[in-house]
Amino acid sequence: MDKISRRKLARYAVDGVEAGRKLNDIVAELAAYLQDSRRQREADLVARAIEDELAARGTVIAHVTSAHALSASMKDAIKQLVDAREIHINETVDPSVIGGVRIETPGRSLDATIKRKLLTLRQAKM
Amino acid sequence: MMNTTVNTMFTQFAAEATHAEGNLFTSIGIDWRLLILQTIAFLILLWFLKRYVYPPLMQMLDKRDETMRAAYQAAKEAEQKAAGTKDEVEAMLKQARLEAKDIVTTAKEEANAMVASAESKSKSQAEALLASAQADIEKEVIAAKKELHNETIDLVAAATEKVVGHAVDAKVDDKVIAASLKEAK
Repeated sequence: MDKISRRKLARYAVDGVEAGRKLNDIVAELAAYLQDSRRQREADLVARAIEDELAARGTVIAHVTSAHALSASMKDAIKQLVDAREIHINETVDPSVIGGVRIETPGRSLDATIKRKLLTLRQAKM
Repeated sequence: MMNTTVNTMFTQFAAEATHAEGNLFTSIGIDWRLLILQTIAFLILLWFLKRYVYPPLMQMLDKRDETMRAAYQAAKEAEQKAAGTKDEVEAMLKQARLEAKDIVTTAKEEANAMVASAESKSKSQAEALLASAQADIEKEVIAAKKELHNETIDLVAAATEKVVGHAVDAKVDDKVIAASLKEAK
């Protein structure tokens, strides 16, 4: 069986979502294919490829990490910053970042956490 | 002894002759026969001396004279030789003194040069040691400063983490996030 590239898989998945297919079905198909082709390790890469494809079509999935749960105003501010037609925020609460926020989108990343600043401070060692 | 005997005989004869006749010679006190006899005796004596005494005496005197002359000559030669040797010795001593002076001067110059060289070398070595020690000290100071800098950073970061961790609540975090987003725009 010819190997299908991750980009093609991502395109297939996004096309299916836009066509209104059930997300679970699409995910099951992708999982089966990866299982059959013994490419289970590429699952994360496929997911990233799907996000890239969505971003290319104007739908951005932003992975946001903060020490505390984000308020609605903060989410709006993040959406304004990301500036896409459609934004979905995937929120993660991680107290270890201490404060601030980390936003990861396809092709871009912003780490404004206090943890990152402290790390930068430590990296200033000679 | 023989002369004495002959003289005695002539004297006796002359005395008899004098006693036998008196004349002009006796008037002035001269006995001509005695005079003749004494003259003959004298001549005999002279011949005897000339024949048997004077030659060996003269020979002895000549020999003595020759010996003395030879001795004098030898002494003179020895004196000259000694004088020459003395001159030679003095010349050698003078030369030796000059050479010794040269050697001492050269030795002094070499010693001074060695001392100067040793001093210069010691000075260079001391300067090199000092420079090396200073370089080592500077390196250690830099290393100590670096270590202090890094330790300070670690302490500040740890302290900040602790302080901020306690101080940042949801409200403060919102402000921090808002400021970060504003900065990111």
